[in-house]
Amino acid sequence: MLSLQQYPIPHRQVSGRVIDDEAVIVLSESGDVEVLNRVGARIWELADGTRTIGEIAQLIEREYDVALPQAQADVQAFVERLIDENIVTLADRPQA
Amino acid sequence: MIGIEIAGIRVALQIEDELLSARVLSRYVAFAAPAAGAAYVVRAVVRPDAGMPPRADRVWRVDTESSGDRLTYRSLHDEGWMDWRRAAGQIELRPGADIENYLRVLCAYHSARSGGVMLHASGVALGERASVFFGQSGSGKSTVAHLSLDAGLTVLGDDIVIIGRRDGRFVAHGVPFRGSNPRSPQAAVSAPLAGLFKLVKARNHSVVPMTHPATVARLVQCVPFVMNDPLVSTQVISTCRDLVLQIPAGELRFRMDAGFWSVINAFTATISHPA
Repeated sequence: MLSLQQYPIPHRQVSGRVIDDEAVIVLSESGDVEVLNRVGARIWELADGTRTIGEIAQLIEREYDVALPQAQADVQAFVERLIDENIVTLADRPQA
Repeated sequence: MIGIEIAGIRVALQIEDELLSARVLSRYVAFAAPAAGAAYVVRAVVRPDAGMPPRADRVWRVDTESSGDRLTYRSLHDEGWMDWRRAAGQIELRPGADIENYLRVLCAYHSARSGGVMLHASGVALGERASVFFGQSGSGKSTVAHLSLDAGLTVLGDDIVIIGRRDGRFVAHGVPFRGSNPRSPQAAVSAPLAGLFKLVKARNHSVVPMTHPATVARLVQCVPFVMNDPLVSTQVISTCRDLVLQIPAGELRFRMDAGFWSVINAFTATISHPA
């Protein structure tokens, strides 16, 4: 399980845009294209290197009216998936 | 100097080799334009060892790398570069090689950088309305183009189509870049874009609307050469978003006859087209 204190940041090979609440993500190295659903798109949008996983979970808790433990688990699992797919990486400090 | 203009992109080619010059003049005759006023000047040089080192698989490929204002390009039998700031480039080719791959890459980058997009797609103009058909290899792009050609329509391209912007509206341009079919037309014409269709072979003709994100995702999968550059690909995603906001898009399920045009016309007529 990922630490809530880590900062997810966009992978340098990724470009993307939120369209109608979903995110279209292009992975330039493989040429793969991913579409993230509404909550996934919001997490990806928030994973800009300025927020920890814990802070993202707090925002998801408020915006989607879910319990914090559930939001934390969901964000941790989703960020882990994004890492596996080279969509984000992790940092120990906030990124400019 | 030889001038050619593809999708409004005018290129002046400086070619010293007479054989290459004659081939280019013949190949791009429908796209001839004055060299004066060209957006880019490209010097073409014949060099026996140009291109990639010999490869066992002989699979056609194009490698591009973008760094600042400079794009470098390499394919099996040719290689070159383009300096965007100076609007000048060079291509070196083996004897008998063609400049087409270089021109495809140049057009792809120029289009992406200027708010348009070059698509691996086919395009057909029906009067003042163009439809663009996209999908993965084998989805039927050239089939749709050639069925339309047989029906007397103007085919803009059966393998590549360039979409540009004119007065705030999207326009589909014909290109000289053809697929493997020797009947492939080369129409230097353009028409306002009226519909975007992802192709699916089926037993009957129908058009099923697609969501905006799904359409953008499918479109960007059909953009050649430029998507390995995150800056350019971001621009392309934005352009595709603008496209789906302006242009009706759907999944065209079709069988092997030109009857699909009736469902296309019905679909584009019923979808509102924002001004």
